[in-house]
Amino acid sequence: MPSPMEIYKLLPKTNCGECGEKTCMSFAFKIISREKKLEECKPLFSPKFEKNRKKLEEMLEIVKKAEETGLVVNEELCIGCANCVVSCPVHVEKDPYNAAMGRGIKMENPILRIENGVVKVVELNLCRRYGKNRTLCIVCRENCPTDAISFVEEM
Amino acid sequence: MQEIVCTGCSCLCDDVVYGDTVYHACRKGYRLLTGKKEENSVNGEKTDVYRALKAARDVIDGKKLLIFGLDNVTCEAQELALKLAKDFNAAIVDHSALSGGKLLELSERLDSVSLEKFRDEGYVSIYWGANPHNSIPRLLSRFTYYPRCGKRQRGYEEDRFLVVADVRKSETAKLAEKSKTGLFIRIEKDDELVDSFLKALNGRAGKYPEVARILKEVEKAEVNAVFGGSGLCSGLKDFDKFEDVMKKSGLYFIPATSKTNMRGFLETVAEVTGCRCYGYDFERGACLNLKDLPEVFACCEAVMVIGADPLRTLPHELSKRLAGKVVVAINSLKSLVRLLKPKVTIASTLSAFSSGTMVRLDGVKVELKELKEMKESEGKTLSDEEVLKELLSM
Ligand code: SF4
Ligand code: SF4
Ligand code: SF4
Repeated sequence: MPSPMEIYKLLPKTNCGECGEKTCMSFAFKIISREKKLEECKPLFSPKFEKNRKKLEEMLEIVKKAEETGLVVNEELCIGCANCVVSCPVHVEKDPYNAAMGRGIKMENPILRIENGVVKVVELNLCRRYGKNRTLCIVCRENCPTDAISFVEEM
Repeated sequence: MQEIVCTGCSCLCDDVVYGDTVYHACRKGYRLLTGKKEENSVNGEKTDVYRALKAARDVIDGKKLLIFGLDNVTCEAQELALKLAKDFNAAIVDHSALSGGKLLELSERLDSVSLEKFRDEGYVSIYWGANPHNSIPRLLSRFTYYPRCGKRQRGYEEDRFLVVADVRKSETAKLAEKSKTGLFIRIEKDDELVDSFLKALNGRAGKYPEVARILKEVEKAEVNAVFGGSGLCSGLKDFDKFEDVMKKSGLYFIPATSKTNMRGFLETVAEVTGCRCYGYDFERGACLNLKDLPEVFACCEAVMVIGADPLRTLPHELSKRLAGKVVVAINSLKSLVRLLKPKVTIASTLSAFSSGTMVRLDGVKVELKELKEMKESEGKTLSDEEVLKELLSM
């Protein structure tokens, strides 16, 4: 997943405002959150920036793919350690006195919950990989010691 | 549905919700909580608990008795087992001499910290010869790495530093390696890592240069700890030097022993006998150590197994000595003990469903929460404590 800084470095960096953003940096952020599309940066499509544009398009291929992705848990691999439940930024925000503190999650319909010894996907709509402001969050997958979590595009 | 304390390992998670669905327990805990329940029997024939108790008492009367197990039962039951051992001039041991006891002993000599304090303030955690992924699956998520609270509000990505020192790349090591704020040191000899710490503390470089970075990180917070596991215990030769490192670096020590209430057993033995040891032979009035076990196992005539599965957990060198002994098993779940053809089996209530106390790996006493409504499948059983009380009163 490219960082906003990596995107920014390849943009024209003139802060021309043609995309509707005040700065190229804020445009870079919105590219990552998929609120903006590369096509909205007109100067990028001039011959001068062709090389950068191609690089950016390559980089953002993964962001595009994620639009259709889903989180998948392989229950056979899961040991129920709850690393994913506790580290998920959505849980941290919505259940600050339980999940965020390492205790069993108490929020109603969380994204993930440990049931009968393994993680269950309860409410995927809350996941940051979905919705208007989606991001390519990979926190749960990165902290799974058994590689039980994957996202559809990787399968 | 009721909140209970899981007794699947020494983490003693007190947030597990037990009902038709079990919430928040890891796979290890779930397996324990839903394991197949033991049944009362005498000579392999099913019977009721009172006949089994009477038969058990007949078996142990007048015999040279060994009481073994006890790491999965409450402190109250351990105390009664010690009383029984005393009354019968028996020997009593758990698993601590084999693994874990040395770590608990170390933790008494070194500065330690509760898991709650570490959760709220801990910065560097060093898993040394420990892979909680297998043994204490929720340790990182409940207490040591992932929680955001107290002084660690920004979470593991920014607020905690994870180190794993191990001879192999364990699952916990993989997490440390992946983390931006962590590192894995593949060690060959534990003493060489101790040496690197001592050298780094004196501003010199040892075999593992990463240690200098760890010590720099340690300076950033007041609460940092080594979680010592069985690998450390079996690999380390010079414990004095290790203690020296711990004292000079200001690191706390927390024993990552997984046996549920081993700490409770050692404390109870110390209280009853006045000796800090891994078991006691009341006939000889002597402490028991690892070297004594083969003889103790060989010499006894009857064995009372309490809350244990010796064929699964003991090395063959010891378990083979149980063959041909008269066995009384007091267990909650079905186990390989059946292969020893016990004369008497008494089914007790799983400790997670009983009342009583256990001691968590960090030394904190945890009150168990008795299950109010037993499911049909749980049946009506006596707790380990009640079974031992009955045996003592006969
Ligand atoms: S991808 Fe991110 S937001 Fe979605 S469940 Fe995993 S950690 Fe939570
Ligand atoms: S981190 Fe992985 S193993 Fe742990 S509960 Fe989540 S999916 Fe299961
Ligand atoms: S970590 Fe240990 S005590 Fe906690 S749920 Fe798992 S087995 Fe039970």
